[in-house]
Amino acid sequence: MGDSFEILILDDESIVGQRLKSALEKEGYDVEVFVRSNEAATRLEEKTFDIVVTDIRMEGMDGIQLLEKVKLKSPETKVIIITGYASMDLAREAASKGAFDFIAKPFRIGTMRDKIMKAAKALENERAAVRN
Amino acid sequence: MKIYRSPMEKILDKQQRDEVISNPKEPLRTLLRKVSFTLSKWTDGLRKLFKH
Repeated sequence: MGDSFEILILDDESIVGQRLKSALEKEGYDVEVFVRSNEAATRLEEKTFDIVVTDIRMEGMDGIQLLEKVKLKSPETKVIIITGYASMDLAREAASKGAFDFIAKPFRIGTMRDKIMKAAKALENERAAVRN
Repeated sequence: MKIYRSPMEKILDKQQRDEVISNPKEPLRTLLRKVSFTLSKWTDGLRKLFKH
Protein backbone atom coordinates (compact mmCIF):
# COMPACT_ATOMS: atom_id res chain seq x y z
CA MET A 1 0.00 0.00 0.00
CA GLY A 2 2.69 2.52 1.05
CA ASP A 3 4.65 2.85 -2.16
CA SER A 4 1.67 4.12 -4.22
CA PHE A 5 1.07 7.25 -2.13
CA GLU A 6 2.79 10.60 -2.49
CA ILE A 7 2.93 12.95 0.46
CA LEU A 8 3.86 16.62 0.76
CA ILE A 9 4.88 17.91 4.19
CA LEU A 10 5.06 21.62 4.99
CA ASP A 11 6.34 22.93 8.30
CA ASP A 12 8.53 25.99 8.86
CA GLU A 13 10.59 24.01 11.39
CA SER A 14 12.90 21.87 9.25
CA ILE A 15 13.36 19.23 11.97
CA VAL A 16 9.62 18.41 11.80
CA GLY A 17 9.71 17.65 8.10
CA GLN A 18 12.97 15.72 8.37
CA ARG A 19 11.73 13.44 11.15
CA LEU A 20 8.38 12.80 9.48
CA LYS A 21 9.99 12.18 6.08
CA SER A 22 12.34 9.60 7.58
CA ALA A 23 9.51 7.80 9.37
CA LEU A 24 7.09 7.82 6.44
CA GLU A 25 9.63 6.77 3.81
CA LYS A 26 10.31 3.69 5.94
CA GLU A 27 6.65 2.81 5.46
CA GLY A 28 7.09 3.05 1.69
CA TYR A 29 5.57 6.47 1.03
CA ASP A 30 7.17 9.01 -1.35
CA VAL A 31 7.68 12.19 0.65
CA GLU A 32 8.60 15.75 -0.32
CA VAL A 33 9.32 18.26 2.43
CA PHE A 34 9.08 22.06 2.37
CA VAL A 35 9.73 24.77 4.96
CA ARG A 36 8.37 27.71 2.93
CA SER A 37 4.68 27.84 2.07
CA ASN A 38 5.22 29.67 -1.24
CA GLU A 39 7.58 26.93 -2.44
CA ALA A 40 5.11 24.24 -1.37
CA ALA A 41 2.32 26.10 -3.17
CA THR A 42 4.40 26.21 -6.36
CA ARG A 43 5.08 22.47 -6.10
CA LEU A 44 1.38 21.80 -5.56
CA GLU A 45 0.67 23.62 -8.83
CA GLU A 46 3.11 21.28 -10.61
CA LYS A 47 2.05 17.99 -9.04
CA THR A 48 -1.00 16.47 -7.37
CA PHE A 49 -0.18 14.78 -4.09
CA ASP A 50 -2.30 12.10 -2.45
CA ILE A 51 -1.79 13.49 1.04
CA VAL A 52 -0.67 16.93 2.25
CA VAL A 53 0.47 17.51 5.83
CA THR A 54 0.73 21.17 6.70
CA ASP A 55 1.39 23.42 9.66
CA ILE A 56 -0.92 26.40 10.10
CA ARG A 57 1.11 29.32 11.35
CA MET A 58 3.78 30.15 8.79
CA GLU A 59 5.13 33.24 7.10
CA GLY A 60 3.36 34.03 3.89
CA MET A 61 0.51 31.68 3.03
CA ASP A 62 -0.87 30.00 6.17
CA GLY A 63 -2.02 26.38 6.40
CA ILE A 64 -5.72 27.17 6.03
CA GLN A 65 -5.06 29.11 2.81
CA LEU A 66 -2.95 26.21 1.56
CA LEU A 67 -5.76 23.78 2.46
CA GLU A 68 -8.21 25.84 0.40
CA LYS A 69 -5.76 25.97 -2.50
CA VAL A 70 -5.22 22.19 -2.42
CA LYS A 71 -8.94 21.36 -2.22
CA LEU A 72 -9.68 23.72 -5.12
CA LYS A 73 -7.18 22.00 -7.38
CA SER A 74 -7.63 18.41 -6.22
CA PRO A 75 -10.61 17.81 -3.91
CA GLU A 76 -9.63 14.16 -3.46
CA THR A 77 -6.29 15.05 -1.81
CA LYS A 78 -6.35 14.36 1.91
CA VAL A 79 -5.05 17.32 3.94
CA ILE A 80 -3.88 16.80 7.50
CA ILE A 81 -3.35 19.90 9.62
CA ILE A 82 -0.67 19.95 12.32
CA THR A 83 -0.39 22.88 14.70
CA GLY A 84 1.13 24.03 17.96
CA TYR A 85 -1.70 26.58 18.29
CA ALA A 86 -4.67 24.24 18.34
CA SER A 87 -8.08 25.57 19.32
CA MET A 88 -11.64 24.34 18.80
CA ASP A 89 -12.35 27.26 16.45
CA LEU A 90 -9.33 26.39 14.32
CA ALA A 91 -10.25 22.70 14.28
CA ARG A 92 -13.81 23.56 13.18
CA GLU A 93 -12.53 25.95 10.50
CA ALA A 94 -10.14 23.32 9.15
CA ALA A 95 -12.92 20.72 9.09
CA SER A 96 -15.33 23.08 7.35
CA LYS A 97 -12.73 23.72 4.65
CA GLY A 98 -12.23 20.01 4.02
CA ALA A 99 -9.31 18.98 6.22
CA PHE A 100 -9.14 15.20 6.67
CA ASP A 101 -7.66 15.42 10.14
CA PHE A 102 -6.32 17.88 12.69
CA ILE A 103 -3.42 17.06 15.02
CA ALA A 104 -2.26 19.27 17.87
CA LYS A 105 1.46 19.39 18.59
CA PRO A 106 3.14 17.77 20.44
CA PHE A 107 2.30 14.41 18.90
CA ARG A 108 4.11 11.09 18.51
CA ILE A 109 5.39 10.05 15.09
CA GLY A 110 3.37 6.85 15.58
CA THR A 111 0.19 8.94 15.73
CA MET A 112 1.06 10.62 12.43
CA ARG A 113 1.85 7.25 10.83
CA ASP A 114 -1.58 5.99 11.89
CA LYS A 115 -3.32 9.10 10.53
CA ILE A 116 -1.46 8.79 7.21
CA MET A 117 -2.48 5.13 6.99
CA LYS A 118 -6.10 6.13 7.66
CA ALA A 119 -5.92 8.79 4.90
CA ALA A 120 -4.35 6.31 2.48
CA LYS A 121 -7.06 3.74 3.27
CA ALA A 122 -9.78 6.36 2.68
CA LEU A 123 -8.21 7.22 -0.69
CA GLU A 124 -8.02 3.55 -1.68
CA ASN A 125 -11.71 3.07 -0.82
CA GLU A 126 -12.72 6.19 -2.77
CA ARG A 127 -10.73 5.09 -5.82
CA ALA A 128 -12.19 1.59 -5.64
CA ALA A 129 -15.70 3.06 -5.45
CA VAL A 130 -15.02 5.18 -8.55
CA ARG A 131 -13.73 2.14 -10.45
CA ASN A 132 -16.91 0.19 -9.55
CA MET B 1 0.68 -6.52 11.31
CA LYS B 2 4.28 -5.45 10.76
CA ILE B 3 6.92 -8.19 10.45
CA TYR B 4 10.33 -7.36 11.92
CA ARG B 5 13.53 -8.91 10.63
CA SER B 6 15.19 -8.70 14.05
CA PRO B 7 14.47 -7.69 17.68
CA MET B 8 16.64 -4.58 17.12
CA GLU B 9 14.48 -3.47 14.22
CA LYS B 10 11.42 -3.77 16.45
CA ILE B 11 13.10 -1.71 19.18
CA LEU B 12 14.18 0.98 16.71
CA ASP B 13 10.71 1.10 15.16
CA LYS B 14 9.13 1.52 18.61
CA GLN B 15 11.61 4.30 19.41
CA GLN B 16 10.68 6.10 16.23
CA ARG B 17 6.94 5.64 16.85
CA ASP B 18 7.37 7.13 20.33
CA GLU B 19 9.44 10.11 19.15
CA VAL B 20 7.60 13.35 19.86
CA ILE B 21 7.18 16.12 17.31
CA SER B 22 6.70 19.54 18.87
CA ASN B 23 7.54 23.20 18.36
CA PRO B 24 11.29 23.23 19.10
CA LYS B 25 11.26 26.96 19.97
CA GLU B 26 8.66 26.73 22.76
CA PRO B 27 7.98 23.08 23.64
CA LEU B 28 6.45 23.80 27.07
CA ARG B 29 3.98 26.42 25.78
CA THR B 30 3.07 24.08 22.92
CA LEU B 31 2.32 21.32 25.42
CA LEU B 32 0.21 23.65 27.59
CA ARG B 33 -1.77 24.77 24.53
CA LYS B 34 -2.39 21.13 23.63
CA VAL B 35 -3.63 20.40 27.16
CA SER B 36 -5.99 23.37 26.88
CA PHE B 37 -7.21 22.22 23.45
CA THR B 38 -7.75 18.65 24.69
CA LEU B 39 -9.81 19.92 27.64
CA SER B 40 -11.88 22.07 25.25
CA LYS B 41 -12.52 19.03 23.05
CA TRP B 42 -13.69 16.98 26.05
CA THR B 43 -15.92 19.81 27.28
CA ASP B 44 -17.37 20.18 23.78
CA GLY B 45 -17.98 16.44 23.64
CA LEU B 46 -19.72 16.40 27.02
CA ARG B 47 -21.86 19.37 26.06
CA LYS B 48 -23.01 17.59 22.91
CA LEU B 49 -23.69 14.42 24.91
CA PHE B 50 -25.92 16.19 27.43
CA LYS B 51 -27.64 18.18 24.71
CA HIS B 52 -28.89 14.90 23.25
